[in-house]
Amino acid sequence: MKPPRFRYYDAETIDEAVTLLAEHGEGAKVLAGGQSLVPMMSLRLAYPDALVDVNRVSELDYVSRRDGELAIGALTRHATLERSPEVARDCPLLSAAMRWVAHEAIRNRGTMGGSLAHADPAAELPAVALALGATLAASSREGSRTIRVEEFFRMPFVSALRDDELLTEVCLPVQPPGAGSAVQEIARRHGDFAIAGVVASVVVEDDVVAQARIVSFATGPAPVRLTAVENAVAGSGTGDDELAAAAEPAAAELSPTDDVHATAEYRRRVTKVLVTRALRDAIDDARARGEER
Amino acid sequence: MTTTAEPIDERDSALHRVITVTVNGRRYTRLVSTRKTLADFIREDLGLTGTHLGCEHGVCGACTVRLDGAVVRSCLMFAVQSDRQSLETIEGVAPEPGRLSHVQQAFWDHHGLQCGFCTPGMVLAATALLERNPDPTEAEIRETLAGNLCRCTGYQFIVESVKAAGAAMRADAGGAS
Amino acid sequence: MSAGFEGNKAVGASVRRVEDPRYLEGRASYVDDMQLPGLLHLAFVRSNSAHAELRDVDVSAALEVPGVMGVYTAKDLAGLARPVLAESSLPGYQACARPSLADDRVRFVGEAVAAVLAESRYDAEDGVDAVVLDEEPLPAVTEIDQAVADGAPLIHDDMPGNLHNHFHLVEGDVDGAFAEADLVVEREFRSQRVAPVPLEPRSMIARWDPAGPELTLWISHQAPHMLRTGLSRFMDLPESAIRVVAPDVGGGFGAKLILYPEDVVAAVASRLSGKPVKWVSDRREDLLTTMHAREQIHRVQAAVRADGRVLGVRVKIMASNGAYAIWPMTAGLDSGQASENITGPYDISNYERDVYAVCTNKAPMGPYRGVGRPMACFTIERLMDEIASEIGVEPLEVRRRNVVRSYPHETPTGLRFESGSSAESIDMIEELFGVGDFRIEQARLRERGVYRGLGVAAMVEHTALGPEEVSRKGIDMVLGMESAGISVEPDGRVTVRVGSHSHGQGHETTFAQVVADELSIPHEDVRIRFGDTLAVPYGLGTWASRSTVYAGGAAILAARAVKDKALRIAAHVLEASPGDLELVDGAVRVKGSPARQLSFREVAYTAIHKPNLLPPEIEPGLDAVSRYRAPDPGSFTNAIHAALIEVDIATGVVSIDRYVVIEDCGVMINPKIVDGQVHGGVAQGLGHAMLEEMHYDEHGQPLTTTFMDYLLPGFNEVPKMEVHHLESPSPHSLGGFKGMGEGGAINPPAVIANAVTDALEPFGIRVDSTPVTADWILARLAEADENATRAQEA
Repeated sequence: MKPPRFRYYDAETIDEAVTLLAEHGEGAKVLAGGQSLVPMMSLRLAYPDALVDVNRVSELDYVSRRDGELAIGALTRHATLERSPEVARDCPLLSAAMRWVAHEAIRNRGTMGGSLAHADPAAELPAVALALGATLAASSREGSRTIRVEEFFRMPFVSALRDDELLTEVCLPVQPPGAGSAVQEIARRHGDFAIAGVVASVVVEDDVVAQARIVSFATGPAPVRLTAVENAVAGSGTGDDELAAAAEPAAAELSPTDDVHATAEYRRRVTKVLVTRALRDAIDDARARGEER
Repeated sequence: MTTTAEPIDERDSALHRVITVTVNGRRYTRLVSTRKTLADFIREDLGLTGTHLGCEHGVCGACTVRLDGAVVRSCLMFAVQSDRQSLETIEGVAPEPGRLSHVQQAFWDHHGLQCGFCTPGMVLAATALLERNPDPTEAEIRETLAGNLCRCTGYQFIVESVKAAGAAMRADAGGAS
Repeated sequence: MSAGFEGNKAVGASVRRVEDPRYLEGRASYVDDMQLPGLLHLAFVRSNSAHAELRDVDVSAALEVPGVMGVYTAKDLAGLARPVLAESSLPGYQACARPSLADDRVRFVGEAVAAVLAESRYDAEDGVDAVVLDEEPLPAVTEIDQAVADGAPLIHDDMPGNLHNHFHLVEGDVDGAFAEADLVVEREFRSQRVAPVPLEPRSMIARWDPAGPELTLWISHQAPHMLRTGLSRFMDLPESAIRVVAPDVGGGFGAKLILYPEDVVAAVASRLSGKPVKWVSDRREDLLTTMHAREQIHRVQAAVRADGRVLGVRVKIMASNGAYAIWPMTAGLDSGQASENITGPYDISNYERDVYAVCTNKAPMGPYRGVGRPMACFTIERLMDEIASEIGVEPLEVRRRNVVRSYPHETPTGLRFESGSSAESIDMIEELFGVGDFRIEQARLRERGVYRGLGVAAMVEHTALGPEEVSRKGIDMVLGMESAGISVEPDGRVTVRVGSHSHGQGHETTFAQVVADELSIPHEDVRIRFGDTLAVPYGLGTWASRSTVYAGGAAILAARAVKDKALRIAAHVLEASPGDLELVDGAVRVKGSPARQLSFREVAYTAIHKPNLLPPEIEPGLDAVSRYRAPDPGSFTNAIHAALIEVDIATGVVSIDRYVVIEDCGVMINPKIVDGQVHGGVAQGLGHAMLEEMHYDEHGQPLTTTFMDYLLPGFNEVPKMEVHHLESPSPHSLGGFKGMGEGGAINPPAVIANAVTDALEPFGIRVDSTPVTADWILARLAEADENATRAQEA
């Protein structure tokens, strides 16, 4: 299972990278962490003409606070984010999601930008980006632009990036202190891609859910905000029955399919349960954080 | 798809590169095809065959090496990406010829291997874990090593080996266990 | 594990494995680690259709690919290799020839059609991409019922009914049993198709030397001599012109036991190219083409007395064997062996079996760890629980009422259990789990919406099949002996050359332990060699849990011959009679007069380098080659597994809270190694029970072709296991040994199915097939919920 022939280029700056992408056109792909691209090449499911290796574009590896947002360079490794105290403080949902992402070896190489650009509907990070209302920045030889996360994930493995664009940054709004986070996921084995997953971020005020952002993943062509559930839970109390009731509309917002790991029906059924549990966990987390302050 | 009818020019740096990589403390300089995986480079070009190929698509962990200390799957990297980097393979784990590391010794004492094929990856992953967390719980061991598959042992004696290795490392460090 | 051994006995001690350092240091030598000058690499072009006419194989573009040295198709094999034919003497068996490269037809996705030889595997795969296949699809037959239906398309023109084999046997008075029964329990059980998946894929280097001529094949294999015989037969080469060498083997589990098409093609490629040729299976082609196993349907009826005593069993077994029979085992193994073991550890004398090995457009099935016994265990153990449920008795109690209690015991299929502890182990489970208290707790938890279950499964493992027993399988070679050659070297250390071959079982240590005890020397002074047909007397390899009994037995015989000769030599030198001598602690000494002694080293040195001191009737040298035939029908190990599980009824997810094994494999050479084998077997069994499945769609396209889809259990899927040992030695085998390598894999599917059925009993859900998945459980719970709602509304 060896990769097919391709031309290899490496860049040390964003400019070099986007120039190479422009020069080599449609057949060029960005090589970042490689944890998704290289297996596809080894399985000969992907035949890029050229790879533009951006692993040495050190200007893309950073986590910094900027204007009330956490700016994460596209080349930042999952392992860096997993261990980052800034992320834990400012985007606890991202921290929480990290331990679900595959295994340590994958996290040591995989990058934030790579995961988002790969747009795997069963992946955690696209769901987190959607839940937090991320803004993404991309560059090409023509210039730069920002892309709202709501427009970024369309189809399985298809993002809004053009062939000649390099994702450069993901900006996540800093979460209000006391916001609670939770990730609930079902996978066939520990560390596998989810069969169904939910990420949730809530703000609790006076024992009422003031605000909730809930995203379901692995249940359709892209992660989806469960707005009906968010509306149902906003202003609701935090008891188990109320949460279960709020989770009811979840199934209708999903468009899962059957595959060898699970049926669409299972994904629908279990998402409701995961939503309820994620809300419960997020509320408990919010309370714990509130008590710490 | 790139046409393959043209002759392959070894001077074409998009197809071949000279790389210098430090492996187990020793520097190697080699000309390598840019599509060659790091795993194949280690095994064929450097003759270090302790790193194994169990799946070549990043799931089983038999190809685990440490890149600047971090465990990575060498089947998911190209050799050219290791240029100017430093790697550790299983051959570099023993502190000196004839002596085993604590992790290796513990696997031996606790029957943490059967056919041996997953063992190099396991040893490296376990070593990285214990360096970071010298007293892991069983759950932590199972969670951290979950990226390494074994088809022979059922994992139980591997867990015991890792615990024993941790105890030995802590004893060595002079601290109370 | 201890480095030495307790007391003076090595057997029974958990000594550390002598082979481990090379694995730990990365110095082991698996086939793919080997390089030879001029080595070329092979990659295979494989069929994309499950069933098709192969119209054309266009290799012209492939030959132009840089690095490609040649492309071989079926016509290149002509005169050099014949289609492989696995013949059987079983009545009605329909043999089918298997070409090593498809000629006019392909019969399963992944079947080898052509082979590209190139300077690197990378180039060879580029060549594969460039080969154009013209396949004209034929209707694919993927399901058993489809294959045997009237008018079904024939996969082999000379195999009517798509039946590799069918037999129907009645033992005892089955009709009488059913007439007498108070209750008939009837069920259908299904097992999915799985794959053995050793972590080291199949690997080989073939080197043809025209000077000999000689073919050398370095190959990751479990039975080098048997493979040599196959190559000899189908390549028309004398066996003496073939050398098969199996170096370190990274797992086998049966997958590496047989002759595969790639073995033949690699040999031919080397012959035609004049270069050594390497082929290593990648994981995708491994999942596609290395033997599959266990796809069976069992339709069973039990005739039961009111107290739960089973009077008789009828079963119809159908196995989806795949498109070809494997050599040498034939296509009847999975189904045939399942049928032999249906009565399990129970005293059931009336038994009828109707057994079908069906040909289907899927990869061929073969003998994977357990070989039919996992499905047999599933059937009888699910049946026991169903009976318990019907008559309102504890599952363990029904087993008590049926279990074999006295030995020897012969089953209706001729399995004669020579000793065992099945009954005691049932009682041990009862005690370990506190079943009475558990039931109270279980009821209490159910009221709180928590669903726990206890699942039990018992079995007897037929190991080390004796020669008469093997001959009944109909294979043309009766694989019923093993060889060991023991040489004492001039330095007094011992080399043992044995025909079994470890692929993880630690034979370099366990056989050394056995020989060390026989010769009263430290086990570190015994070096085990195997795997090379040039160096080792003809042996049959490691499989079917045979090595301890067979190779252990041969080693013991050879050791005794050596010991006998050592005593005679020493007797001559010490001027004593052999009867007055004993071999103790590495020395031959006069009983009662220990000062008069010769060290074992001195005896050996004398035998080899002082032949002038030997009398005419004693030949120089101190060695022996022995062959051992294990007792018929075999050695019978028993084990009972039990698990405590919990089902999350909101998600269907099953968690295993406790897993216990009580096993009895007679005398254990190395208890730690036995535990390791049990653990590994249980892990594979749990994979079968809950995770692993080779999916094919209705067109015969495999859907699980990578490790992302074919799910092996990992650290968090295999629970901690408590393993207890009982010891019922075999009165027949040398050393009292029995085999046990496969055992751990046999019980888990039944255990999990019984546990989940127990947990979900309030919902009336019964697990009658594997894998048991959360998806399946939740769907059944939803159905049960709908039924309950409808019932309420009615």
